Amino acid sequence: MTSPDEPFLTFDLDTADREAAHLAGHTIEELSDYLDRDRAPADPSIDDSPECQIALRSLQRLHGVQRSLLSSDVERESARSDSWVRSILQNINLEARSGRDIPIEHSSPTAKLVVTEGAVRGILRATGDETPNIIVGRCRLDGDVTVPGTPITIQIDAAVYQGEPIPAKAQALRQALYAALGQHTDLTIAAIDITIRDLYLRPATPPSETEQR
Amino acid sequence: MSDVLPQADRLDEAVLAVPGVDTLFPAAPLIATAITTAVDALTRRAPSANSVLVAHETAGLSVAVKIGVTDGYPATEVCRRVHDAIVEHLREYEEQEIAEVAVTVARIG
Repeated sequence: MTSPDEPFLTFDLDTADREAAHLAGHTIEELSDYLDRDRAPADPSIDDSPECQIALRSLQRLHGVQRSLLSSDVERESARSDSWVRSILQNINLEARSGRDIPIEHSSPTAKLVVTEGAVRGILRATGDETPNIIVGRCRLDGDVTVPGTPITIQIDAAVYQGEPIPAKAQALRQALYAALGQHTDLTIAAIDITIRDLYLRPATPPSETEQR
Repeated sequence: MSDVLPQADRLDEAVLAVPGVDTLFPAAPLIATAITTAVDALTRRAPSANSVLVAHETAGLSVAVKIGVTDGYPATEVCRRVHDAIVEHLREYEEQEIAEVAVTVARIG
């Protein structure tokens, strides 16, 4: 386990980087507020931006995780949760950007088909978040994704709930990621490296009626 | 030279009719958006989001679209089908050669 003072993941952004990390001119905080307002009033500059949509969906899932963590043990976890959530927000912000164009094969010479790196990172994060008791910290595609057939490596940093068998969880996540990449990309995957960086308390379950008696 | 053809809105429909496509994101740069707005005003049609960019070039027509793919559909296959739908539509309505059809999957799920 990392020490309580150590952020789950860090991206040390200076001012220029923060500007560059804006999504369609919006900060991650603005997008979070937009979500909290139930996306009203509608803002086309957000709704028409794929980068903002990817970030909003990631934020929505993160809010759910936050709620369960906060209910688990506020006293013990709150300080660490804050830095952990902050670092994930930064990662969502960076990952949602469109990034490189990843080619999709087609037999026609007129076809120029691509999926953005941001869309692929979005699906990797979504797949991880859908894996029970896994919380994705960061997703990265290492290698030249722009050249078809070039073997690339996927790097995932994640946390699991305490008490979960880590090798089994990592294997389940890896299989889900392979399936998602095979379904949505033509990428040649050399490896999917998963680093479990932290353990988190399982959300508290209210005592059953039998236990209360 | 870039332009927005009258059938561009029909291309919108052709792309959105492909199973798995749930969003057509604006694909045009600002200058083309201004042209579309002018065309929309002249033709009294509702302002389009300029989701499909059609350019006349010496080699032929170039088309660019940016799509979102819904859950449960493979993005690669949807992307190929969008390309094919555009080509089919252009062959039906356009005499000019097709130089390039660029389809970008910008969001999945």
